[in-house]
Amino acid sequence: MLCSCTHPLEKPLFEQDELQLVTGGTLRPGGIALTTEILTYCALAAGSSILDVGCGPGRTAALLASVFALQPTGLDPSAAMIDKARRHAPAIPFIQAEATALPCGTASFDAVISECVLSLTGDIDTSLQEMHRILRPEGTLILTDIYQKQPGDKPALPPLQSCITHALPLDTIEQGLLQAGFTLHYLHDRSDLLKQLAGQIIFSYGSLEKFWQLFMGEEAARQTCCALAAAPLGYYVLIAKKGTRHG
Amino acid sequence: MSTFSFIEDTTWQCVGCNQPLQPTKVNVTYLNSLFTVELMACPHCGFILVPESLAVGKMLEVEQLLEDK
Repeated sequence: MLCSCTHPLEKPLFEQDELQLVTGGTLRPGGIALTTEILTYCALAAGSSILDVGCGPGRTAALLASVFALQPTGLDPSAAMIDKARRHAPAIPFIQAEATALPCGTASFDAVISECVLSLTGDIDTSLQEMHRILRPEGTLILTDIYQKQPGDKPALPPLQSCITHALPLDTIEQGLLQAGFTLHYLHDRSDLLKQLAGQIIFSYGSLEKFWQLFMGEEAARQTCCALAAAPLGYYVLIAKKGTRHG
Repeated sequence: MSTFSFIEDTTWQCVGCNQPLQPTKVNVTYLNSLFTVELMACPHCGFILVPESLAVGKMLEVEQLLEDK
């Protein structure tokens, strides 16, 4: 039996209201609490410019401005998300664009933040090079994302547009950072937050399988659960700096 | 919207407050993780009814997930 959505697989997971409801509107493990924790740790100077790559409905951008007194710009390839973000935070500039071709000047931002987005950009090397290009020397890159816990053991998932479908091993991400010219300053495994989100989905939807059935058929949902159990995913937080030698 | 709920008509009442239980969003801490669950609770003192289906059903499923079983 298919769910009642029209062509559910054509709509990315991050645009689904069901996911937003269990993540408090932030569409990722850890939610706004994790963002607050990282930004507090980074202690960026008030007034610093920061680009939110994959800003979604604009929750982080609003937090950056209101709590941390930063000057955020949001960027997302989804017109629906940009529309939501503009309604949520009308004073903040939001741009519809891809992470692989940032429409921003070289060395024009003090910081870049990208939460649960990098693996979705299609080409992480190009995306990281673009983030490096637009950062000022010694600029800060903040990344969170899903990763493959067992390299080479990619889960066989239906074609749902989601970070879980495109998760990469942590080594690949670290290599991409170094090649782009970043120096890794902080890397922390926060897979506990991914599990917490999965647990919340069980409490909110009855089971993980029933949650996936909202977007796909029963058999595909069952296969998705089996694939994720066989090839577990993790969640990381990292902070990197733009090295001056590449600046 | 959430499609699953532990809210149900129940004859249980809060003895201390002599109040019928009402649907309430409750924060549950379990194995160092925090979850929001809809449960029947006393509107006066907040005493919560944990139904059997939660205690031996969903909790087990979540426990297995959190402990990588």
